[in-house]
Amino acid sequence: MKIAVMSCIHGNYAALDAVLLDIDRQKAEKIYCLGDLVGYGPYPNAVVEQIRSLDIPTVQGCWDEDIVEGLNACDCSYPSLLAEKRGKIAHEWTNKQVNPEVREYLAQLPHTYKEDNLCFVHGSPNSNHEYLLPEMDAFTALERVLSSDADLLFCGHTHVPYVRTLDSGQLQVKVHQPNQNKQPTVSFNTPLKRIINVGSVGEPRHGRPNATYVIYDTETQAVNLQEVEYDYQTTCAAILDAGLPPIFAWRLARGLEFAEKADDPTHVCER
Amino acid sequence: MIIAVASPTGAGKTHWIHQQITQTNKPVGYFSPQTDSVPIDAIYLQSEYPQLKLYRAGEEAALNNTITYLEIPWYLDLAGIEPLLQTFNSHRVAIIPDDTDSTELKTWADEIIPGDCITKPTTALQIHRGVLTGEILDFDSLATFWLELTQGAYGKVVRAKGIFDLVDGQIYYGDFRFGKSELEFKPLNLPRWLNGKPDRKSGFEIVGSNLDQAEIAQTVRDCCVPESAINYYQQQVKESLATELEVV
Repeated sequence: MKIAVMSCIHGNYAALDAVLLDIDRQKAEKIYCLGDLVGYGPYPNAVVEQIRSLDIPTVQGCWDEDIVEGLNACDCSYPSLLAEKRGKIAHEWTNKQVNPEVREYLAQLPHTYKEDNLCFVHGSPNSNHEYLLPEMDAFTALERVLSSDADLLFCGHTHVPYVRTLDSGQLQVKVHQPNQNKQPTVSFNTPLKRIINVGSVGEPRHGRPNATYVIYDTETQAVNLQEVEYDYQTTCAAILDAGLPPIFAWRLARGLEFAEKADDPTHVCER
Repeated sequence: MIIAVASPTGAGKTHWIHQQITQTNKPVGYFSPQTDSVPIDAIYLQSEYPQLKLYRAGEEAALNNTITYLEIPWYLDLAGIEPLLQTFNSHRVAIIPDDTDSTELKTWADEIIPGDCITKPTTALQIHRGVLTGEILDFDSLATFWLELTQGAYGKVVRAKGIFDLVDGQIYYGDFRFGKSELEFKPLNLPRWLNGKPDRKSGFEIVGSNLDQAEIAQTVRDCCVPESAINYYQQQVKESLATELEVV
């Protein structure tokens, strides 16, 4: 079965519309969404309403969580003072815009969603805010997949798509107990695991404004990264019309994301 | 002896002076009229050559005490600087890109040096200067701003240079010329400032067209560390540096 997995729409309705059309063309039988429906972009309500109307299984993203619970960020949410200022402007704007029904919908989204051996999260099984960067050390990456009790972990949040295969993983656990000379050791091998980051629909960070998402075939396990062109200038114009910072439009047009993200693969989110 | 150096913006005056200073062991001075508010090139050169004598406005009478490079900003009228040059024994150097036909500079100069090719502006250039008064910037924020600035987020930029005090006490030098692929951004060889707001000059100079000066100023403000947090960060840097010394 072909499935489509998308993430990080960020209120960019034109990008979502283009991706949904492309998914239709690819004949995917089911769609999943990894959250961050809102934040930065000018159409938070319209994006949520579209996702709801299509009954797409969706997990909560960090921006969705922040709109519901308020800002409570770890350092990794704001890698610089400038990113923090811009993030807070976007948060305040979005917070004023969202309808009560939309807020209610965002509040009830699950942190993780599982289906068979597939697990869907926004950041990591640990936190909506945690970045599973491709450079993260293999042990930690494997631990995150194992904690999801799945073979394949779909995530977003970094806005840069990647596929990471964790094979031949051998874990050794030593337990030290006081008054015991011998340390019990448990070793086991893990079967092949994979992490698939599906990129971002509405806020790409790969140097082009195009939306990205993933088509996955559950039978052949083939992963196809889809890059979809859309009329990003419509979104840029709407950003300006909405009174959001013009730099958001400038950055979107260059595939630079609205604000830069953390890039420390050793950081463990403390949120 | 005064060596007066003139060129269009971004053609390489400071770079050429830098090269000349390396080739002499005599006392050398430097003076650039109307740049005292943000003396970016002077601070850069002095970080490279601590023995360089910097002259400020009002010290023109002493220019002859050293071999003094007089860097004439491109926006200054050459006729306006003439009385000063007439006072001293001076040699006039014009740095002119091959693709630039500058009759005025060629007539003025005793010596012509080929300069870096520059992008010819299609509209009138404007200058935006920002004078920072002890502000300390966050490096990651500054790097983002500098990238946005040089890629045109705040208007078409043909030249940008600046010196910025950062939270780790270092002072950074940024130098951008349109069409040059390398983006120079490096710490200067100057003492770290880790005791409150720096009492030294910093700031930036941007040359271009359609510059959104208000947005530039706001973004630089957004890059600044709040005064209330400066001491906290500086203490952390001091402790970190002390640990490094212990390890060494």
